Amino acid sequence: MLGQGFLTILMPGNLIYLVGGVALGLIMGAIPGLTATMAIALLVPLTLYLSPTQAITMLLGAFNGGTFGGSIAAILLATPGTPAASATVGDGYAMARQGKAGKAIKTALVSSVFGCLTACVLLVLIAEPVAQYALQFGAAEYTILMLFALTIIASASGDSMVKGLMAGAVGLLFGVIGMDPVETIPRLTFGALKLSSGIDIVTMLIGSLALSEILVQIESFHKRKQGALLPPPSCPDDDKFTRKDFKRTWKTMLRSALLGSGIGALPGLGSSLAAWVGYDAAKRASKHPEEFGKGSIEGIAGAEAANNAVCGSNMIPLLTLGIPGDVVAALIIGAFMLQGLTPGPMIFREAAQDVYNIYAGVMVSNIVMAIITLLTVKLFTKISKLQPNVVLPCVCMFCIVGVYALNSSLFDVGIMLAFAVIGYFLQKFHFPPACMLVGFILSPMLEKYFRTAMQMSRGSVSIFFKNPLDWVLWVITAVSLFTILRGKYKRYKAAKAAEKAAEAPAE
Amino acid sequence: MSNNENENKGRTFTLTESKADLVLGVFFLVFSLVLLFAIIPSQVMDVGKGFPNPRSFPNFCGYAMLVLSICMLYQSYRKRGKQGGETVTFTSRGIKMSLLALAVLIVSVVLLQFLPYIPVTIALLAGMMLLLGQRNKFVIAGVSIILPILVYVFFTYGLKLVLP
Repeated sequence: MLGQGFLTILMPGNLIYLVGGVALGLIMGAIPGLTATMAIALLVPLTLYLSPTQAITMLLGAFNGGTFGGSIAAILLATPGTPAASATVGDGYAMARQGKAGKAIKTALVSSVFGCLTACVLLVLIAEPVAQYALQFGAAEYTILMLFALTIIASASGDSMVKGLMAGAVGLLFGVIGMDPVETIPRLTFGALKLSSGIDIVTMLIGSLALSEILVQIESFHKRKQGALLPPPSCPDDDKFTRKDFKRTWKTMLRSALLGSGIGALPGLGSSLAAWVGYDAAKRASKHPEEFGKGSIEGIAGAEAANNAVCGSNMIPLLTLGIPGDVVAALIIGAFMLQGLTPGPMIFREAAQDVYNIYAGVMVSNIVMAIITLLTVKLFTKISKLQPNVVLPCVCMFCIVGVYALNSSLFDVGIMLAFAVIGYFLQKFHFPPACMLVGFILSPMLEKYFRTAMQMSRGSVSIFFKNPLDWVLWVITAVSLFTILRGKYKRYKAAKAAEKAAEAPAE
Repeated sequence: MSNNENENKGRTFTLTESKADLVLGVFFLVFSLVLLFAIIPSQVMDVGKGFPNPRSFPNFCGYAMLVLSICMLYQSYRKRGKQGGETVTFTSRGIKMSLLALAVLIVSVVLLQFLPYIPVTIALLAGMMLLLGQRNKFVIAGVSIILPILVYVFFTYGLKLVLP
């Protein structure tokens, strides 16, 4: 059936919609403020006129393309095109500033394709048991998972754990703004109706990462000679993803792809969290963790493999249980219903061939995405040759337009400017922005699941220790925290020893 | 703080690592106290004594910041007098440029409430390019006129999204 699926997808009438979906997703993902979700929302009404195969593969192609497309802006402009690309900014932009923009984009592409294909293989082979595993996760299990994810803040804090934790606490606080998830009362909105729904993650990302970086660059404008935005590659290999690069990163990609697949299979978590978990796992397993944040190819591979793996594994709860894992999956369920199909266990009996066509479509979308990107990568990297005094104002314009387009609200643009100022000071005082972002992403989920679990147990914390799965998650969290603290302690001792050695000759 | 006169950069203000931690520690200490004892009580309704309640999580964030600010102040004390470490540098000219760029952005956003997208964005792009030192009239005119129109057409007719 899968073979028949591939034959069906490769028919010109179906392929053209897949290519169109991927191309639109790439473009919208690459423009800051326009997301893969928006691309899918725009395409859903068009699916009314298409067959199920054409409709769903077009939407999934847009999702896949959009998730990867965000990394192009992240690498070239330090502006994540989508929230899922926020983990790629640090290493991607650093590589671009070293003249390796082409290598960074190709690494992101290979990792994204690898991640999504891995998730697709899992989708085909073990969708049913994975879905059953996802069903075991209740509020308590999700809470412990969020606590594990919080250890990313400690891991990403760099040399100063205190600054990292402070940035994380600030992010957690920003995530609280809006309506209380249980009592539905406004919190920290200061009477502003527009803040009732909270701060949009895209608004915060673009303000605190992109615009703040632009302000920092403008501040140092007068100190440097005007030249191209980014330096050219110093050797041909700087523009390529070589075999040596693959040897260095394939384990990272596989690890992150599996992590991303696991996270994507759990409803409610999303590709942003997957990207950070994948990045963090890559850093901890790397032989050169000190390179992360300064242009590590493994950093890009870890983040991109994980976030694109969600594109495939998102379909697991959707197809097997009819549960939408996130907004994208909810939109895709809408498209299924327009086609007269109901996702869930029965779909494998009522429309089995359509399901396998969709599997094949997601896999082929990766090939299409790779071809389109390789054909256009030179066009993208030409941006790096432009002068900064032309590019930076254009990026500012795209940021304003993109954020406005989210909700047609200038208030959101104002919030973005506020975060630009906050992000500027965070950068100047050497706070790791990653910590604030992770705190912001986790805050609403952590509080919602924790309070739901406490309500279910009528205030008893024993709910967090009832199942064997809970104990497994607690052990993973404890091990994660232990390895981070041990690493920090070792670095502290090494720094102290170096200090003493430097002082000794003086004495 | 050390002030150095420099004709090219204007004044330069440099904070040592210890001083920077001191400034941050004091800032977050004050902020967390204001958050815990003024902002949260006024901005989050008290719905009862049960745990957790709507104030629990914001309070947790506030107390975390309070503890961490004390840690920062302690770090500042431990590092005093030590050389090296990360410094924080501001130049008067650099701050002026950043503030001007921010002002251009804020004015543009305010004007978008009253004027349509295309003229405001043309002015934004032209103003920012001039501020950042672009002097080629053709580049300024070309980019600031063509790009907003292209974006307008793409968003309005391609994506069916309404711009201001």
